[in-house]
Amino acid sequence: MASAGPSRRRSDGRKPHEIRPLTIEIGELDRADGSGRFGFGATSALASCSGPLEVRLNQELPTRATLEISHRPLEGVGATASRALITTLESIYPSALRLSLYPRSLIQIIVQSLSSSSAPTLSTGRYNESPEIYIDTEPETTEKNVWPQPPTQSALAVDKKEKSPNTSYNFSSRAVSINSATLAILDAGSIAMTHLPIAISIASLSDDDGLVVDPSIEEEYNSIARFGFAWSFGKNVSLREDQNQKDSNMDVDEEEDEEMELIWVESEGKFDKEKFSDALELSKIACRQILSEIRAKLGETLECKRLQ
Amino acid sequence: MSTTLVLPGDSISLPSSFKSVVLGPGLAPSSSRLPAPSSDEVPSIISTKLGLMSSAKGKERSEQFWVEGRSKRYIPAQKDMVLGTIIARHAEGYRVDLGSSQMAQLDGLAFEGATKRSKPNLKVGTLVYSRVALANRDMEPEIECIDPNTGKAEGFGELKGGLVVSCSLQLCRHLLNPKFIVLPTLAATIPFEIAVGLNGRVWFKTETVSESIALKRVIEGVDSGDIKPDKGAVDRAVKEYLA
Repeated sequence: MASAGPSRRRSDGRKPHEIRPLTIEIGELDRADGSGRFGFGATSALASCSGPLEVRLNQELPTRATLEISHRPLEGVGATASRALITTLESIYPSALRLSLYPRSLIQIIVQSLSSSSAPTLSTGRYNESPEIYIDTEPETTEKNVWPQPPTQSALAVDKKEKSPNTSYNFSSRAVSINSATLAILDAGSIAMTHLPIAISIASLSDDDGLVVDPSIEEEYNSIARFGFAWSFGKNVSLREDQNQKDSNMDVDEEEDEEMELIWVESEGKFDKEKFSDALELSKIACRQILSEIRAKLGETLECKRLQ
Repeated sequence: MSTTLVLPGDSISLPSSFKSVVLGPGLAPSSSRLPAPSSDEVPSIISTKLGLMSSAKGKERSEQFWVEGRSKRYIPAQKDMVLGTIIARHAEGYRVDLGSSQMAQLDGLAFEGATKRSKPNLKVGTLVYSRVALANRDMEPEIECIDPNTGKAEGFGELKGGLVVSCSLQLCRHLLNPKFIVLPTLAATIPFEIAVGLNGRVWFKTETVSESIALKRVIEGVDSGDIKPDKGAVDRAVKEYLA
């Protein structure tokens, strides 16, 4: 495991392997068939799911439902970053849903980000605990509507660490998008789902320092490597037997637990194989923890809306 | 009724003592994408939606299992009683909106006493109470306004006046259960006529507007969880809304 002991505290007082307090809500939107809000601390997203709906003729598929996933950023219009996130979601959900049960119909998932996509501007390296820091972070000096965006001239960008480009969301935003979409589908209840995707982000703060689970925006910005993992939970979801020949890079994933399967991995920055396997193991534990929190919270919600 | 919460993908263990087991909505054999190691292995049953595991005694010592979940989107199933709005008419019949992914077809002859010469003449926008005659995932559903056993209307057909409210499918199923206390309690205070569609729509007709509004607010309150479905709470809510 990572070199830092779990006793070390992070800038916001968390232990290295501790996730931020979760927000789990379902059924907030009245007009959608199902909706879910998921948040790690201040990073959150609200998703809606409707379907099966009537499909436009040019999108109609004769053997399965059309899955339409859209993403709305907090500010501005959906651009490359949104598109990248949609591609991620589109790679996860068709396998989790039984789309063939609803031919010639439309299943619509809309994810609304509730936290900013851009990196925080911090004049000092100090962590600010107020959530307002995530909003309105566009530096004045940045020339707008220029692509590719010039590098932000913040104090942090001066050191030579590799930074995640402005054209993508940070990993915790991607993880909350996946988790909120899962909650929305759960709440809709009209679309059969065979397993449950749950995502987490992990960051490596420095070469000798350990990995932190669920990094805050600032931690992620200062990290040298970032990982996003999504695990799918369900009976018989795993593809244990052909895992090894499928991808030789994934041989760390020799998993005896057949109840979960890795369905999404994205990583960037500087890391070695050992660090990746550590992150993978951590993500497994964190996703299990999120699942049990979701189970507890939804049990409560359903119990108080029970009719009999 | 057990109260276990299930999430999609959860493995369901069914008791083996029953002669036969009927799997209802929300349950399916798990589709292992691997070829089964031993083909005589019984496929495991998984849940496919969020809800509470429920079971009931069926016919001939069989046991029925289903997942009782909340959803708003109707998927047509044969023999369901539904409330639909006519949205178009054509030579043979009508196209009816049930709130599902496709419009339902209502034949002009699927009414009591209808012949080629005398078909009912329904306008666009009319509300009909009908029964799903054919529901197939690859075809448009077909509905009819007669009971096929007797050939009589049996309460199906055009609904005149009244008010429609939308609610969750779960509440509609419960309203049809005579043991569910909400409707008997309401009926003790307000006289009304009601038609519950399993597609998440409830139609009712009362004598005065204020009674209609009270009824609507009670049904919506029970649906959102604000009013507990017990006699005292419903009574109190009706009194308050009528005052």
